Amino acid sequence: MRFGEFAKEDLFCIETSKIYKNMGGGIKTVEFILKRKNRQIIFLEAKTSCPNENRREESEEKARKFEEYFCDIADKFHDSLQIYLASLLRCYEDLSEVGSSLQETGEFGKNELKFILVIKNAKIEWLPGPQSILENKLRALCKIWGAKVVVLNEELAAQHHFIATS
Amino acid sequence: MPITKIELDNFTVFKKISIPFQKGINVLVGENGFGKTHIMKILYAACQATKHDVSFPQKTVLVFRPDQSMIGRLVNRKKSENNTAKISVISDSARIGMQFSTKTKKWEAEVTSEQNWEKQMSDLTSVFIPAKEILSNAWNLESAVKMGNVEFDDTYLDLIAAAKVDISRGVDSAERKKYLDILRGMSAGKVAVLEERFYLKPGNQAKLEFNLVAEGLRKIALLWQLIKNGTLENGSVLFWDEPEANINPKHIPVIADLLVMLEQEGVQIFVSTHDYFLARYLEVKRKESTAVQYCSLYREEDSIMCEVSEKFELLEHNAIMETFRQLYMDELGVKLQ
Repeated sequence: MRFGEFAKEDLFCIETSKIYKNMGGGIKTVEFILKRKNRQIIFLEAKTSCPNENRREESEEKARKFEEYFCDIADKFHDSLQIYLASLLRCYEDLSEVGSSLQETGEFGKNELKFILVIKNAKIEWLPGPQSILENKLRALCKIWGAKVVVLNEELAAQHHFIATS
Repeated sequence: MPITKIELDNFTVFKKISIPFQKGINVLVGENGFGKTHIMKILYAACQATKHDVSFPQKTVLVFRPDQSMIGRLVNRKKSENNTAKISVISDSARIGMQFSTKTKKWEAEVTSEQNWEKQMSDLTSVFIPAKEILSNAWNLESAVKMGNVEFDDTYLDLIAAAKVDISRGVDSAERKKYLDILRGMSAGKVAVLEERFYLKPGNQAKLEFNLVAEGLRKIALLWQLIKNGTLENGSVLFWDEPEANINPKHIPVIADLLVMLEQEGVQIFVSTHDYFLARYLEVKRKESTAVQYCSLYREEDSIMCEVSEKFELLEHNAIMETFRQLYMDELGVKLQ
């Protein structure tokens, strides 16, 4: 999937950033953070597929991998939010990789944080399951920040203008 | 003796339709008014007609309750030259047919192969659980209906009679006992019948009038009673109209488990549902050996058609999933606006 096109001032490509790489290991991150004109701050993570919820009880291995998949994604949203907030508080010397609109702190409380997972090959009817699981794992974060969890497939991501048009 | 097919010609909402059935669980889905309950009722009437003292047309009238008991009112009302309805219910060993017109008096329909049907299907028992719980209104209901004071169709009266049958004293299988215990836990008691009235008896406590019990719990208690008294056992047919009505979604997995258990024990099941949870949980809870089939009724031009699939998500005409997807899209619209 090719995400974009986004204006540089609205974007923080956190996964490929020096800020993130300089942290060393043990921290997870989403693909990018994006500021939208309607005061939404999007944390977006992409996956090609998702483990089948109906099959997770088939073996301990499947149950473990299922849990790991969602814990990993939840950790990415969690850590990415921390990195972003740390950048707002000027914890890093070089903030040139963080888009200027993302650095605006005035009336920050009026922004809406969205944790978006895009599962490329999922059918629409498979999406509520992962959404519900992630909402559960991120409940505290969502309560504290008023954030919302959204799970899309490639088609829906394109409809909502996250995917580059050709 | 499972029912394998139904053929309806010019009957109620149906112009012409033929639906194959599984020996296990048959799940009927479709929008309101597409004939799910009518199919189950006519099948039930046919199952009841396996008794030598029950006639197919008369039972049909008692189950559908057309005005003045005129079976002719069950002919498809859409204007056409054809004023004759034909019905065939087919099992693996016999078939029964019925034909009537708008001019047929009372229940004087023409019946074919009734004797052979009775002979081949003599061991069949059946029960119909309507969407609305009725046991709490059971007292004197039969008399009131006979006197014409109220109108309830035979599905309600038969269910009351079935629920009144004494509890079987036989030993329950381990699987059956497990579900009986679960059902009793959910309803917090067992059913007792005293002077034609139903009560819930929670353990050693005083009995509770059924109409003081939550409707969903009454339904669960009824299930317990029908399983315990042997109504639902190998060779019987269960018709259950909208099991999800008044049941908390939390209990739907248990209902699905229960239906799978009954199927494994040899009960043929027909269920109509509008409920996403039930439709999906039947898929989740089914075992490899469980026979499950989804029959989706949909409209094409001016006819009701039926699409059949072993998997719920493979149905092309699926109002439940369409609404589910639309809800998700509408929620996204709100979240991402």
